[in-house]
Amino acid sequence: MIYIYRKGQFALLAALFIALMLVVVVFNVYQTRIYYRRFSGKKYAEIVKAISSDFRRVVTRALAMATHEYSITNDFATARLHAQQFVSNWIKTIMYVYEDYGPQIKVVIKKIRYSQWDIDNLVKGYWYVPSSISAAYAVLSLNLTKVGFYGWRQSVRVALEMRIDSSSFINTQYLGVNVTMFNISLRIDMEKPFINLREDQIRILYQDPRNWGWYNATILKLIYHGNGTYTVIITPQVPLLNGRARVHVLLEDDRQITVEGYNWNYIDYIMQDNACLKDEYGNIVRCVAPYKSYVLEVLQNGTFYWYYDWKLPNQASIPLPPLPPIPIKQFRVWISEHGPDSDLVMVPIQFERWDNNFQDFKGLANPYRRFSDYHKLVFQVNFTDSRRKKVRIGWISDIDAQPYPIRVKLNYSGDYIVAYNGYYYLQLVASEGKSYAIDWSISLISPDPLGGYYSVEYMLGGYDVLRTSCGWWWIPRKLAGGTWYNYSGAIRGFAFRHSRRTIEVVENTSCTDLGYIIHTDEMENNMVVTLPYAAHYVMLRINYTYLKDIVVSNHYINLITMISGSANDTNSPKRLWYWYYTDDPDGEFTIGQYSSSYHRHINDDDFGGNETLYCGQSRKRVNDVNEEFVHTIYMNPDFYSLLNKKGERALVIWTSADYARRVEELLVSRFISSSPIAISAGEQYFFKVALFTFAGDITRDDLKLYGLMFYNESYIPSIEDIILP
Amino acid sequence: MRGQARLVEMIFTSLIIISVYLMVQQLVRPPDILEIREHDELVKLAYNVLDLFASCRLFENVIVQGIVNGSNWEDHMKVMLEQTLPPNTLFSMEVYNVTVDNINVTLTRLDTKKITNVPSFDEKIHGHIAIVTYTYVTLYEPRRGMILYITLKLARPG
Amino acid sequence: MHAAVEYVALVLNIILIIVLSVSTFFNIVAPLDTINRERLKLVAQKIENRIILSPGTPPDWGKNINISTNDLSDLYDVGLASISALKGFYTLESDKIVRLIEYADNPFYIPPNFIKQHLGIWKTYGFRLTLIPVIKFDVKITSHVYNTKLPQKIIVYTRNFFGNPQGNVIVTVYYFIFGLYSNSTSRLFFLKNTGITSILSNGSCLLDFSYVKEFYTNKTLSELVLTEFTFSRVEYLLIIQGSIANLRSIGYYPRIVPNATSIGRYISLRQNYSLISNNSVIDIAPPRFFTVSLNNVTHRVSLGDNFKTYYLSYIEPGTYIVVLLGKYNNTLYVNYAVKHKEFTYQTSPSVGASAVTIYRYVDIDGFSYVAVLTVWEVSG
Repeated sequence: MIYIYRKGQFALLAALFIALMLVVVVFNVYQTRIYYRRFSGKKYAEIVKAISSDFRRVVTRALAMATHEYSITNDFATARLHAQQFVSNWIKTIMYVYEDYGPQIKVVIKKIRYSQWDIDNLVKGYWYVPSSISAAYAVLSLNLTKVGFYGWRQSVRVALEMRIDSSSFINTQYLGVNVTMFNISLRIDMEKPFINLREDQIRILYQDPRNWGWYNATILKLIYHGNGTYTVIITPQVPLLNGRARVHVLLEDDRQITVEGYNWNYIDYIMQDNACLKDEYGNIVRCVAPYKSYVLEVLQNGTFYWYYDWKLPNQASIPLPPLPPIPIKQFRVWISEHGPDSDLVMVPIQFERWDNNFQDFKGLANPYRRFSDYHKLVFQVNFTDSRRKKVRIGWISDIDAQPYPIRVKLNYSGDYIVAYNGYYYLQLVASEGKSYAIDWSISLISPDPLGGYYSVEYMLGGYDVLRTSCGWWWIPRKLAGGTWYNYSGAIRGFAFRHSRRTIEVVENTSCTDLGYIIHTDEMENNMVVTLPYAAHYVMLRINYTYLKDIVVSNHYINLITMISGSANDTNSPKRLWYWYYTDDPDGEFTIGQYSSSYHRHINDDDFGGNETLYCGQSRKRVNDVNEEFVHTIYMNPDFYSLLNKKGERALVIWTSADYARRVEELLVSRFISSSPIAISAGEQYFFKVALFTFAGDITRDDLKLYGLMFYNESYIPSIEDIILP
Repeated sequence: MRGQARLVEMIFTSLIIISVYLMVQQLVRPPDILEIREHDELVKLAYNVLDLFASCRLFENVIVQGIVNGSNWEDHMKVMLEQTLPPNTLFSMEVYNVTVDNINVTLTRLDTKKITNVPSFDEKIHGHIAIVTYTYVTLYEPRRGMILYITLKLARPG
Repeated sequence: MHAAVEYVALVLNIILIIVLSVSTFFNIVAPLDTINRERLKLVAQKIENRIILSPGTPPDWGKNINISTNDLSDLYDVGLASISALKGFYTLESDKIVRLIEYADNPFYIPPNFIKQHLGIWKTYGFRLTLIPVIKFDVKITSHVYNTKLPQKIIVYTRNFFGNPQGNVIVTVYYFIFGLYSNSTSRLFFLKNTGITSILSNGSCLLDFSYVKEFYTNKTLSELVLTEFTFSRVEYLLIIQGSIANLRSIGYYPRIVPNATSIGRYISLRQNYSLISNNSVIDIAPPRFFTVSLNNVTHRVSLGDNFKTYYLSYIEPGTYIVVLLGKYNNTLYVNYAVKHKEFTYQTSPSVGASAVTIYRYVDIDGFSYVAVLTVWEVSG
């Protein structure tokens, strides 16, 4: 010891102690660090949970926003965009709030299948049918990079489902009041029943068969049976149709998620063509024909119309079901390819807005509006191969559904509107300033079997004749004026004119310099030209109302005139050579030939047939086969008696000397020069007429058959049966 | 001479020992485990209470309804916190409304009165405070689709 | 002189070194001691995570009636959380809670030792889990209907979890009366009344049923007793629901120990129990109740010889209590199966010396409870 001590090992001793202490210290420091790490725990667990819970809320809000907005605007694409924007705002909020944790957050949109539905694109809805749903599905993917946490995934499902139990409808009495009762089942979030429905969360619409439109029913009581099933008791009592009432249910829960359901997915009609040729014993000989297509209109209360105002009779055992008050873009129509049992094929449809008790056409309907009492659903049924067809009016439940696309094209081409319906061109004189110089109002330009096209013109509603200073006559002197409005749809185009303008042709400086003046107080015209897609006919509904007393100085009042031919086809094989018309009450048929120079062929004031009524022009004699080309005006008994308003009905068929025009005129009064005829104020000429074009083998029976379509209501198609699913 | 050298040596040695000792003291200050556990516990409590409020729709019924009515909702909120937090828990809450435009996230303070049981919470409380941030999207009436940002601070006295 | 000073300095130095190093050592080690104690809190949090916040393995074990006291082989991990993705993170499933409530007629009870084993804390730690409703009720009957035991006026006292009287609680009492006729048919009556508690009356409210009209007959209690009660036996059950700021709690009175157990759509009863009729089963899910029936179970459920199991014709989501009307020797026995209630579940009767407690708010079927978890170290 003293030895060490003396050698100065004291410092060494101290150093040893220090080393020992350091070792002990280091050992303990390590121990402490280990404990510390185990103790610090996962602080971010709570944050992740909090973000996940809020994610569920944000997806719920997204669905509520989208469905609520859609129930007002009927535009789900935009509603969905707003919802997605909200989610994206939330993501930005989370990134900002939890910035210190280095969040990487992604909302993954996936498609899932739940029950019979595909839910994708964050939010989705299938409405308007007995089983309806609004649903959302999204997956949250979260990393917190600054604390080393990766890979959190949370999926969220939000939904509101409603099922209308179609077999539960009962009409009965409740507390002395006549009521309708039915059951609905509600489910939330794809797994649990909705157990707290209140009366103010549900709205029921019913259709009153006596009035237009859908009305709010009063909910007398809601009875809960457990497991999300309720009985709804409403008043007034709604008639049952096949055991079910026509009710539309709108539901909004506490979260503002909305869903709508209707009692049916579709309605099937069996329709029958009744424009048939019969033999002398009254047996049906033939109904089907190549050009037999009807453009039908359906109104909200379920009635069908043909040819402007003829209502289709309902022979089914149940009354016509109404169309549901759902957005127009959801509707679809299917028609059986052949007979009623053959496959159904989707057909184009169109929706129109009308005014003034369906007198005035207001344009195509906004597809984002609900189908209402001023709308028409229009589609075409062909009876070309079967006398009966099944027509299904249905609606798509997918609220993303787009409206049916437009088919008929209408173009402005200089002074004309040209519409192409897939078969022929309809040319309308659009600009007022030109029509006086052209003695026609509309022109049908059809494909010609000989190649190219051939056109036939029609003059509408001219009256009076101008005597020029050179001694020749200009027909007509006065013509209906005004601006044509036009619309195109998938089924038909419209040209529409409603005006008080009348054009009077006047001589300016000489008989070769003609001009025109406008009257606005003489005659009001209201014309609707209907141009169905791919059909061979055009329908006209025309109303002339005279506003004041008029003297027609040169005795001439015209309802409609057909004119074909020009100087160009004088020696052409395209020339129409023959005229024909129904001649006597038994429907006998008269045919004749146009000449090459001026000649009046027919001046008949007592023409007409008992089952059809028509006149027309053809290239060959009707009954000759091959490449027959025919234009026909189909009339009806109302038109016929209107022609006789002045007691001077006339059908005049003639060839003109100049352009060798072939003319057929249907006149209220024949042209007699210097012989005035009076028209009194308020006198009205209201009629409809159809213009038909054929190319192919046509017989007289065919002509007659087509005429039945436009003759009277006893030949229109009927609804033989209605089948509700 | 030798004796003095040894004295110096001893002094040096003592100085080395003392300085090592002091250095080690600094290094091996044991982390305040107690406080850490306490802090974690307060954080969990804070989230638990906020989660409870969320499931009762409290944020809509008290905060949003209070703002819509122009009533004294801050005190109502304070009472709810007092009743659900264990006694002897010091708290302070701030509520913000989040608005997002294309790029910016803006926080607008909603409480005009302090929601706390310690006036001047921030100044008076030292030591560990559990600070918890919570976002809440309102789903129910009176105003849906608001994004609320809530800060809840909890501490234990002493 | 030199030598003496040196010796003294040496000794002092040695002492200094030893003292310093030892004290440094203890400065470090002593907090480690505290660390050890704090480890208890960590364990408590782990137990909380395993039992309260996770659903267990398999996650839907709550519904599986083959997991019973006699046969726990299908159960790997006990967790009480609900597996539904819809629920928040502190939502517990009532089918799992039922299994922690110990009473003689619960064949699904899971002994605490099972959990201890599965948590791996068999020898080292013990725990106690208590579930307490956020609003606690006490009922005092202040008057009865005529000479019957049926309450006519009751006072409901509410307290919050900390034991303080609670004002502004909306209290709804659902009053069920069950009657057994001598010809062995049963009858059910139902009344409802609501009040608000006031802090001025010590967190209580008075509910007077004297003029409340019964649901089926539209008569008051006194009228019923005079006209309809020709029973050989009458029993009643009050279901008390309190709600404050959308926080809801529920309780029942009288506080009879449940004597049937319902898991999912199944219900198990004592073998010797007989129902009055197959339809005398009432499923109570406030604010509604449904009369349901029992069907026989098609597959074998092994609960031991003392119990039999039936399948309820219907159980409403959110059911709180299932009431069965049975009889024995002309006496009406009313059996209850409750889906959740206040309970205590612990691994040993006494709590260890140093214990750590965690409080958590939890939700069960829309009702709020506080889950109190106490963890201690087992000595020896």
